[in-house]
Amino acid sequence: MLQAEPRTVLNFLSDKFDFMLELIAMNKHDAIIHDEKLKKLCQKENIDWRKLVDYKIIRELQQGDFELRKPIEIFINYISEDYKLDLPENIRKYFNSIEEIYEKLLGEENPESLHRLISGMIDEVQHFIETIESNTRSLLNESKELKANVRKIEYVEKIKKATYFIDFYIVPLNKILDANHTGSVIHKLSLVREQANKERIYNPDFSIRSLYEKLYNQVISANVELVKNSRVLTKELLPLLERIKTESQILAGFMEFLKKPNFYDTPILLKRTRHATYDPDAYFAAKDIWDQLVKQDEVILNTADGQKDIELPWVFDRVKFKKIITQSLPIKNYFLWSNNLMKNEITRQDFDFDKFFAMSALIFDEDYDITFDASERTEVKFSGLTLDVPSLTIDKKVTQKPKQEV
Amino acid sequence: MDYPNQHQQIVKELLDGKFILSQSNPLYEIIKSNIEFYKAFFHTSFGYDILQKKTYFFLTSNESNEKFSRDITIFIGIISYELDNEGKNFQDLIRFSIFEYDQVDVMVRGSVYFNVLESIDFGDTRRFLARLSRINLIEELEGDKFRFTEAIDLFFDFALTVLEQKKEKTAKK
Repeated sequence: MLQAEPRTVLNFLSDKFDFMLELIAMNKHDAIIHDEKLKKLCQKENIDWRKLVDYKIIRELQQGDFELRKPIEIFINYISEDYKLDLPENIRKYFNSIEEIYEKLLGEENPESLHRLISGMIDEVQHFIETIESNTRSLLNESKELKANVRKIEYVEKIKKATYFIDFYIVPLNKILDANHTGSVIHKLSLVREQANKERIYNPDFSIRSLYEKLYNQVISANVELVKNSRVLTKELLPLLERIKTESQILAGFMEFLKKPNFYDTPILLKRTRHATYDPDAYFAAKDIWDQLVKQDEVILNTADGQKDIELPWVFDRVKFKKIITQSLPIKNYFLWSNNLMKNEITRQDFDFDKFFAMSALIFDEDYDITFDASERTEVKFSGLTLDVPSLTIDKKVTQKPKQEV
Repeated sequence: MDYPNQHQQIVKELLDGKFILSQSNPLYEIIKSNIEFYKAFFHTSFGYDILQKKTYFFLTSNESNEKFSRDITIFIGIISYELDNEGKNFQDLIRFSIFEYDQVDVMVRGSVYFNVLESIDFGDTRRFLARLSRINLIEELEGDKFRFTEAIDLFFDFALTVLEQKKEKTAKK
């Protein structure tokens, strides 16, 4: 049998997610998937049941029935937040494993063994936290179901169920999380934290110190998670009997809604509009919009009746003048040259001071070389002003080639 | 054409998304006596519907991107759950008692449902309550206190419809 591509299996799980939920429910209800039921469900969904075996979703048992493979069940339950309750005994086993690894850690000096033990401890703490979290969440869901009582279970039945949860799951879980009790996992974890804290600072081996650092941080965050879960137990679960005494249809509705807040259509309110109908500035706002939309008449300037030509303002065109300069290089006595150029250019206006400076600014460009003789000066005349300026020679900049290394 | 008294104010408040409450707002009676006019007015002018409940009016539109209502329902659901958790009659408390801002802030942040609240545009409790005040769902009182208005019934009624839907779904299975 060829192994299925992981992506193909994931695509199948995604496409047939509702089918998978039904399969999980079937497995949960009967603790096994009966051959007949499986084939009926597959037929309904048009799925070849052999594919489920190939994709390692179910395992065929000796007698012809099937069982869901654990990793698949855990994965689907995890993403759909439908956790299965573990027996308190299954949770308490972490006490033994954590204690055992802890004792070994204290006496171990071989670096390789230490590596293995610390990594093992990190894994165990992680599993423990995941288990506590999923169990607390599962108990919380169960308690909410009891409180909402959508199925209308009789009062006596409800109390019986709550008592069972309290005695069988909630109280034992609370004992496991009780930090004051020396037999609790939390107490054991506090010893692990002390040891990890000491070793992450003093252990002479860098890699061991790093691993202890990781363990230390993990135990710290584990503690935060455990305190959070312990608070849920004390506040929500231990007083379960008191809480289920009263029932409210409204509360049951809210609890159902909070379970899936995006599933139900909430009352439709009005989305507030930005513009009020009675805006005091409505007239001006409308006029602005109107003025932009209305087509303007074309303006025709009539100069044929002997009217004076309309003078448009002169705008200094930097690109144009720079091009003229570049084409005229080399230029001797730049200020005199630009003075003449501008006088020819601006036929209807005098070459004034501002334009002179605009032209002067152009030569301070990296493209040009500027040289001047200090003894030679030029006079540039404007109306009411004469400037005494040096005679500048402008030429194209010679770029030196870098010397080749021998 | 003659418009009802304070027509401009009525239109403004309803378009601002406010609940017009029978107990505290004189506009309620004006709308009530001109309800047919306002139904036609809002429907023709804006495509909105004016909803009349026993003790309040409000406008509703079919815009699907209105999210505030969901946020409010989550918030009220959490408050109800937490008050019940404390062994109190949450309906009476929400309908008739006075709350302090800080008390509500502690209540929602310590709730097992706080993760649901975090997934929406909740932000700061005080700012969220200010938004509720703008639509007259709460009435702000002196000394950092407030009380819910009768418009709260809209959300209590919604909770009942959720329960009905759930029951129907369960019965089908």
